Amino acid sequence: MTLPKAKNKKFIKEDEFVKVAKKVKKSFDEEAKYLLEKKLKNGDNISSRTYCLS
Amino acid sequence: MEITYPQELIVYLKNKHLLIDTNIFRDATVKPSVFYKFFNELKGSDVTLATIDFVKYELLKGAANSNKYHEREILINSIIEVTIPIVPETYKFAYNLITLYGIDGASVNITDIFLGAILMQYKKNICLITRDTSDFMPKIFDLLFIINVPHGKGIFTYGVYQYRK
Repeated sequence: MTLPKAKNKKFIKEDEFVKVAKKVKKSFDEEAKYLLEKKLKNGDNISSRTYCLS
Repeated sequence: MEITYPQELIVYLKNKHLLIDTNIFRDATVKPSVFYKFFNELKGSDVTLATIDFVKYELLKGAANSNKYHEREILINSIIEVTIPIVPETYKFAYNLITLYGIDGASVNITDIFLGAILMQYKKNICLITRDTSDFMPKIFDLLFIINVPHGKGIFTYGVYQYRK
């Protein structure tokens, strides 16, 4: 099995990249906030760790 | 602010694949105007930017809706040029790596196991860049280069690793 090769070199355009990166960062921040709130609400949530149930 | 790395990095990576870990994509959203230059410099030096599906899953899961999922896909696809498939042989390398890690592998996540397995599979043709510098153990992987990226609260430090044998 050989490594796949890039079909064509596509360079990143700064404006487009910065624009989408800002949106994705906001989305990651929302996700982190959601996870923190869930953790605070549910405590340490040990019971959801499957290896603790075995 | 710029990414600082040794000049030998680009020379060494020429005509190789560079596997990108999840944290690089995440950090690129914090400093996009810095990272895009670095990615373009690598692409322009015949380095193929690559990742695996496990990294994509880590980035895509948790997207609140289809629009946000799509934005994450655009970001990933603008950086990488190929997704390296997990083939039956890769699973054998993953089991081998788990054996080599021993008890030290207890806390290594499954994505890092497969990144390591891909490094083992393709040997000198591929390197990995990651901020997760504790899960790629020096008894198995060589730390070839260190890359620093200053940011508002400190410095992101990345390692470039390659399978030792």
